[in-house]
Amino acid sequence: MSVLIVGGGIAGIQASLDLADSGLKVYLVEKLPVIGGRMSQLDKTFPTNDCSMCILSPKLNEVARHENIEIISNAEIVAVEGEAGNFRVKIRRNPTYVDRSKCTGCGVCATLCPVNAIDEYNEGMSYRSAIFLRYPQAVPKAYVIDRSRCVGCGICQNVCVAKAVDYTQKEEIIELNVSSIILALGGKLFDARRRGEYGYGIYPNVITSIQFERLLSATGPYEGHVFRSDGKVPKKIAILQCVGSRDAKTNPYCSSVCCTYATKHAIIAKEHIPDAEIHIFAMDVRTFGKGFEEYANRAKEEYGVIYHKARVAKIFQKKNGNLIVKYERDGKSFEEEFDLVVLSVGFEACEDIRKYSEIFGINLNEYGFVLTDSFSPVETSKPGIFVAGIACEPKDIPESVAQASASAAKALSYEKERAVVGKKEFPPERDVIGEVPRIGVFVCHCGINIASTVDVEELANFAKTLDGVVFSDHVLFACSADSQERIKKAIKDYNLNRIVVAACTPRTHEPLFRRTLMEAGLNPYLFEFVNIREQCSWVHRDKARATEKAKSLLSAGVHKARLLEPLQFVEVNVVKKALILGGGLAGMTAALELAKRGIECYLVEKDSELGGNLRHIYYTIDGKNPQDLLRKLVAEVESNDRIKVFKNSTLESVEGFVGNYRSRIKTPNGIVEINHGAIIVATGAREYKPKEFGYGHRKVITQVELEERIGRGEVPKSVVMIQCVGSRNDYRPYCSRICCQAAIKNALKIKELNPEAEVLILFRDIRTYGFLEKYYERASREGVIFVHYTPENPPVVRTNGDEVEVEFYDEILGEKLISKPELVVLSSATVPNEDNKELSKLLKVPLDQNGFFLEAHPKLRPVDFATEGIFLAGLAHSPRLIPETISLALAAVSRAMTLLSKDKIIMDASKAEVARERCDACGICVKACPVSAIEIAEFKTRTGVELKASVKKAICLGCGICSASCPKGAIVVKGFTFDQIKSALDGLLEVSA
Amino acid sequence: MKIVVFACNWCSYAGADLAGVSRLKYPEDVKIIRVMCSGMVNPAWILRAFRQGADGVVIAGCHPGDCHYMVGNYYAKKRYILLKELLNFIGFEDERLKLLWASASEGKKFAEEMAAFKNVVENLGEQEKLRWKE
Amino acid sequence: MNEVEKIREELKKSGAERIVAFVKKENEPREVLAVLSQKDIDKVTFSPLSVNNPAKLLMQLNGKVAVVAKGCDAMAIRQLIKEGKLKRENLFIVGISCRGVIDYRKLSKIEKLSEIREVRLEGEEVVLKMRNGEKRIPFAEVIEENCLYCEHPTPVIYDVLIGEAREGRKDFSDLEKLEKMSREERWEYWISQFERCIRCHACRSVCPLCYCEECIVDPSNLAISPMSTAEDKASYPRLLGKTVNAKDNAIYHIIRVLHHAGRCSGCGECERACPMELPLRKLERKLEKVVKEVFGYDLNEDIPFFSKLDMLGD
Repeated sequence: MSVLIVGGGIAGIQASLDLADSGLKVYLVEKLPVIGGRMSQLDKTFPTNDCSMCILSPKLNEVARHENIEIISNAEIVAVEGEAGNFRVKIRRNPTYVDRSKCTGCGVCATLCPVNAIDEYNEGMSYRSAIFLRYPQAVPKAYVIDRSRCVGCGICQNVCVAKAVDYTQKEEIIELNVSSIILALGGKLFDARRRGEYGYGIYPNVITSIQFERLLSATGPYEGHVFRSDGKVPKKIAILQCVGSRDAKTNPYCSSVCCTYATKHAIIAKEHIPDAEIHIFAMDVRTFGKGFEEYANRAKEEYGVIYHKARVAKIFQKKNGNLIVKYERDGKSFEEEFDLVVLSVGFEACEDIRKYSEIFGINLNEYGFVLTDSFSPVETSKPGIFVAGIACEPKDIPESVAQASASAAKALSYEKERAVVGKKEFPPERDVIGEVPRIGVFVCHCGINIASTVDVEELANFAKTLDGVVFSDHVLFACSADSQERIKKAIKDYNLNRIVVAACTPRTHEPLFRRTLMEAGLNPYLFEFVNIREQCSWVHRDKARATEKAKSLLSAGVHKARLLEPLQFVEVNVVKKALILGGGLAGMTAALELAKRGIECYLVEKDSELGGNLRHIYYTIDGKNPQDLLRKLVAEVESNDRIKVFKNSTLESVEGFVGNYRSRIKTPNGIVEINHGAIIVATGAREYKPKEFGYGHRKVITQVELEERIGRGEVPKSVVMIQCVGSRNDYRPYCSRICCQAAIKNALKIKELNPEAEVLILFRDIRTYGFLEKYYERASREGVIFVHYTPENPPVVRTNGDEVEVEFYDEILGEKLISKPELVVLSSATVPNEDNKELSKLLKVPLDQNGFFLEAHPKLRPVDFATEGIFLAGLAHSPRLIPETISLALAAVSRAMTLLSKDKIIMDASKAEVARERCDACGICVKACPVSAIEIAEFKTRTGVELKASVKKAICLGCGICSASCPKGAIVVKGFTFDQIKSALDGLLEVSA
Repeated sequence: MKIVVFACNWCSYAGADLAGVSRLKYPEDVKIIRVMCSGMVNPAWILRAFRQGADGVVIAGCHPGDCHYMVGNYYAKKRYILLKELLNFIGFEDERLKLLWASASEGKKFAEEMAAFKNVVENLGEQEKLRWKE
Repeated sequence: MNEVEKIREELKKSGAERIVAFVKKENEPREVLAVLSQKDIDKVTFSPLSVNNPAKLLMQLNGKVAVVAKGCDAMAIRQLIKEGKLKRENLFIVGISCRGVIDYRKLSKIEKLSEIREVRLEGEEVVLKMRNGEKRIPFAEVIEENCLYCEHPTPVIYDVLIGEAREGRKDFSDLEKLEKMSREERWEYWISQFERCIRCHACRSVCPLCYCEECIVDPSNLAISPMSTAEDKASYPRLLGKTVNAKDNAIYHIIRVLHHAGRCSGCGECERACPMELPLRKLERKLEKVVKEVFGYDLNEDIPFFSKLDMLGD
């Protein structure tokens, strides 16, 4: 059986890869001819400003190459029958008029096509032909004909060497049996024309955020130069928030991502136009995610971006095309002139959702998104059908990716047996030992990312002058699927036995090229990566000098490549057990889910009881009972045979490596030693005990303490709540994400129990993102009073004996007010556990600046650590709510299952190795090795037995401390041997400049 | 000037990548050789670099305590001190050898340190003492 | 019983099949190391001309061996035990509390060596038994400079000790002169030394710690040819060419010395062997100083210096 995934955006891609890596067959259905979704249109991703395509493209290629994934693009679901475990799905694949199996993606047809059609990828700001590829890195890389634009001239058919164009292609019906379905339909962007007062579609210099994104992109309409419609470079830009969000007339909910992407747009725009003045108009700045608040601070402090706490009422156009923006702030009206206005449009449910809700028989919520429950955040109303990404609520990429993994974890449960999908068969490896090096060099343009600063053609020609290079070429995108084909072809045609690619960083793209070598029958280690983008074109301006430097880097790469040797992967067995640290919501969820997959779990909790923070939550904002959830989880965990719970216990030590860890748990009954293959860190976080605002006084309490009181039935008559206590300050720059929600939840509860109670909330920004906005709106309607304060002018809490009073400044009245409530409630920060530091040392995984655990990649690997076999879930990652915690826990399960579902894992071959003829067993390396991977062993020789150092490869990390310690160079790390690096140095320094 | 940087894969190489992603500028003279850990940098490579005409050499690794391999950077520092002392003792400008801790998030630091080191090396002039000539 | 008699006695008592000790060459004062059996025990001698370090020789011998070891010799033996090259249980060490050895070069400037028959130490004087008559010269005039700064005159490891244990010097005042020079003066000094080096590798051949069969600096017996495969080349370290010039020589010596950090026994064989009389001990001494003062490493520690983790902060 297999899984159907509908939607080929980043969520669909992640879910596909997780399931496919866990050994399941996946059908990925995409409406468009290519996958990639919204993320493929983004220039950069917040908050790291990573190039979006750079991190997406390897994933696209992974999907395209994965033996367990079948992409069915340009297709839609027509009918679904059956039930969980056995769905029968009917899919209609619409004709593309190009035979995908024949098209090489060469693009000759598109250059000759006489039609100019609006380019959707560039949001209507450029033209494409009628036969086209949505974007250069697209997967599948096959052109399609847009018949609504095609004039039927037949040129493409005539010029296509591959004979791929087929005007007669018909639609195709595909029928599949699948055990479960994941909906990753994505969302639609709000049509800004519906907010007529902003003049979108009428004023040419009012554009949407996605258009601005395309303008900023190097692959955009002006190659990354920001121009207005009249060709002028805008020097004063207004960015308007909440266009189609938080708006009673259109969509009442918050779209969650716009404030941070507007911040990103402002920063990137400043980088493109350093003297530009950028204003962001937002009612509240909702930068609530991990690292987002720091990002917004950087925008303000380093880039001089101006944030206005205001909503724009109307825009007028002047004759010169400039725009007058009318806005209100603190009850006063202002007008300001701008060159360009960018509308930060929000998300809506996509068109297909309604249709699909009927086909799949699932319920939608009041906003037309897929309905989920906050305790089962990826489950739809129909068993066996799951949802991920924006289809159920607007959210950013990491949350979508986490949900995708989470839905994959759920989908796994319907697989009775793992489909036996074999390892991809690679052609037999060619034996190149003894061959003279025949090196092929590929220089990447990376669009214009490299080519604009480095003369790639000159570089490719230079490569030809180097010894051993028999082939050299330059390509537009070395990472694209067609470039991989070119590399393979060159390997074959020129009998190459070493490949050097000069492109971006090996840290992201090395696996891709190694695989290409394998597909071409070459050992993957006969590959050398030369970084001429991150470490050359992006950090230099002078083209001549940058080109010289690139030559020198390439020369080093070629010198090293000459000495590359074929290496064999190291295979190790996997212990199918998991260690879960932390018995809170995340830990228990993960344990139960893993146990359902047949994985034995060790659940370690430092407290005497399971439950963690969940123990202190008595109701949720949407009226659910977390205590019921807690009781259910604890009961299930404690009665599960596959879960061994250690309470009052901590991790004492960890040894070993991915698939084979050996840990010592300190329990009240002594030390317990366990073996396991994976680790999930779910150690949670805690509420900050404030030092400010008179905390400690009987009448000054935190939100959690208030909730406990209300839980006991003590409802205060008057409350002043202060937001951002201990968050968003110099010590703790991050936003704690959950406290706005907590304040409103408690305010509503007070109002529910005592409608006469007075609740005043003093806030900086109310961050009720997504559908939580409804509760903010409800609280206002029910008489909760919200008063804004700034960090420069914070409220003051004074205690006098048993009395407490709060003095605060009201911006609208323009005066200081004093309130004497029954209780002052501090919305206190969520802070990382103190023991994170020690744990991070034990596990050798990093913490971020704030002391939370740092994931492998903030966008695409939210629950992985850089260290293989260790995963992250819950509040240990960052502050979050119950549904988000559950998603992350399930995501960690899915990621762990990609490992634990295997009997064997294959490890990198770059390990230490001893050249026995030179080793004399002095033992310096043995004692220097940080993981004790080296031993002195006896080896039989013709004359007797001799002692030599010997490396235990499964333990060796390949760090090379041994190799630098050895006086005779007898132990080397393969791929970084003494002579390989020495040669690289020679090559590097041989080039003048 | 020719400046060779041995950058560890996990921190400094990633930091240099971040400098690129952030489009921070530093001199073209700086050229990076990727190693898995600063602890694998063999002093002989550094001498080889000087022999082949490097004007400056940087060993760049994770901050103490942050090493991906726990302790590789401590070993790097140990060898660095030995070599630096010896180079100084024979009258070689030991400022041409630099040890730098730069994390994956310190793109800015990396770029700034490279610009500063280039200045140091430029003030010393071309490295002649160990440069090998036919 | 004089010193030599005591040595012979102890060697005999050890019962070892083989004995590594000094014997006198015929017709000259020079003494050399030899591998002897019990029946040759009367050939064993010892004097301030017993300059060489027996440690390297020991590595070639199997079975129980008795050896005569001065302070520096014992340092080398102990280091080789630490590195697994020698087995302590196979050794019977007759340790000698050493007052220093004579520098042949200094001595030959005072007297023609062929005229000298025997040498012995009496108080602060060296008594030279000449072909005709006897001559006395102050020991200070002919002592090896290296011995003046010896830290371990008394063996750190022995089975029996001959003579009274004595204190060594712990300072590095011998480096002061060089350290006080300006950098350019130092460079002039050293490059003029390295210019004279002929890369005969005698320093390496005699050094008890340079036991690598192939040296990373100059692998002499590598089968690298134009026909060698990339795989072969990748696994064979080669650093310098075979050309002799001051700069490669400098690199050769730097690397050789670096590999001795925390290991050098201070025996001075390198300087003694150097036909060009390069001040090689100065380089080693500099590292001894760094190892001691920066890292606080004591050569008596069990863990080799290079394997030891030093948590030096920023």
